[in-house]
Amino acid sequence: MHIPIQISPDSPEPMYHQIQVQLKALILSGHLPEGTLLPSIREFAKDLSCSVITIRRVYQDLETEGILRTRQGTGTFVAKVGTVTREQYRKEAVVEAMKEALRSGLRVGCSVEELRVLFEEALVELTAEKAAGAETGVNGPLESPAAVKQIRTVEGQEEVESQ
Amino acid sequence: MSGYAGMRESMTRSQEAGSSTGDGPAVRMSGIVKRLGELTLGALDFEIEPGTVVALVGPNGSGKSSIFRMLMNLSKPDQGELRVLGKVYGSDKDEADVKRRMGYVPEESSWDELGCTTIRQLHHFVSRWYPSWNETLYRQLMIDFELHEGMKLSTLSKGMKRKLSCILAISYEPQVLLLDEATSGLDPFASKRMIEQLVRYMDGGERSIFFSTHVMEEVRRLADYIVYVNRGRFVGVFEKDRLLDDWKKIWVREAPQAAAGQLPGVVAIEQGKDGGLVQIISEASAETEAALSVQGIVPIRVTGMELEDILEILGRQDREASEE
Repeated sequence: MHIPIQISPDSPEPMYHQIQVQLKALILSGHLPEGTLLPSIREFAKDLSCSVITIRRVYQDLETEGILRTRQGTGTFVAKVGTVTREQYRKEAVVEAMKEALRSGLRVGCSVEELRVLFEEALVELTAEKAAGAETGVNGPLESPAAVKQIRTVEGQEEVESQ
Repeated sequence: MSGYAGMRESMTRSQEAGSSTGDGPAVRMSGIVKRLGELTLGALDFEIEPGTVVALVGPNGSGKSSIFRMLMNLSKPDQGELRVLGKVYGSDKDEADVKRRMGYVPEESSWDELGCTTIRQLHHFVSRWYPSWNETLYRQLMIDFELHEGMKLSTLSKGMKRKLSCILAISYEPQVLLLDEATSGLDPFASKRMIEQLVRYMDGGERSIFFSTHVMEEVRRLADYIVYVNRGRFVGVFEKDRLLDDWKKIWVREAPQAAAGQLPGVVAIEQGKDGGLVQIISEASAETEAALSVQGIVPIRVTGMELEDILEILGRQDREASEE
């Protein structure tokens, strides 16, 4: 089984963190349902070109969080995720995505006030696009693949249904 | 830097991550020194944990092949202790016992002295030596690598010999697999297939692979750890993912204040030409970025670094340290 996870070599976050965040997103948004058997540590490591040490750490951390469970000799599976965890995650994911957007603003030298203004602008534009998309039955123009990915991550279920 | 210490630290962390180390390291080299003509190899200090893939890198003539030969007891170290699967090469019985659980794919295979003409004959010869020979696995590998029993050994290309050597080594399911220049002579497709086989091989229990290569892409894809030897000098053992996580290029508009003292983790600062951006090379990117942010500097961009560039700098740092 191959899982769509992308490690960015340019991210300030270490690899295990990036994988963990994306895997968690796939699970909590419902794309990897309860009971799904995940790839072996070695196979997953090869797919992502990282070491078994990193994957082992991801599996362990997510198992501690209750999102994965391991059965000796069989493998690692997606566990049943409660509604509370899902809700908490939804909010965490949105905050993470917003932080990333704010970081890119800081990088080009925006002030805190400017960022607030830009956020409102973006929200207005997005709402307008969605309304326009609903009328014509077509998705609005994509701002950036990253933005779409982040929105998908949060609205996982919704996006799947609307396709 | 003691590679041994680095390895210990990595091993402790991965033990915390829940790896089972079984009966101790698959391979251990302690204080190994070997004189090779004008070059002195060592002192080598590293361990290979069961269940890991370790890449051996370094320029040609660094002594990499000698390391494999010592591991197979084809040559003896001048100093130090070598343990394979917990055993020291002492009695003949010990040696046979250890070698039955090791696979070795050397740079060049010569089956000439064995008196075999075809692959079939070689197959029969080799399979008799190893009680753990897996005939089903052998047949599957022959199909995967597109070789036939009827082929004459003398007509095999370099790539085919390499594939055959690999098949013969994997077919008795050794605990430790040594590969010297694993994919050399193979076209990209065959290389890819070989790497897939190696990954599959690793799935079967607490096995280990120790392979040397010049192809950084293989190191990036397969390796858990890297043992780096540079013209005989043991530069160290590194956890591959940590190297890629820690080493980054940080681009800023202005060079950070020198008065603030040495920034942690900074290896080099390069001013761009004609007032361009400043590039900071860091070996501890998180620390460097934190220190920059204290000075109010927000990086314009942070990019990862290629393994070969990281290793080149590590090699240079090691040489400079040795010259002090």
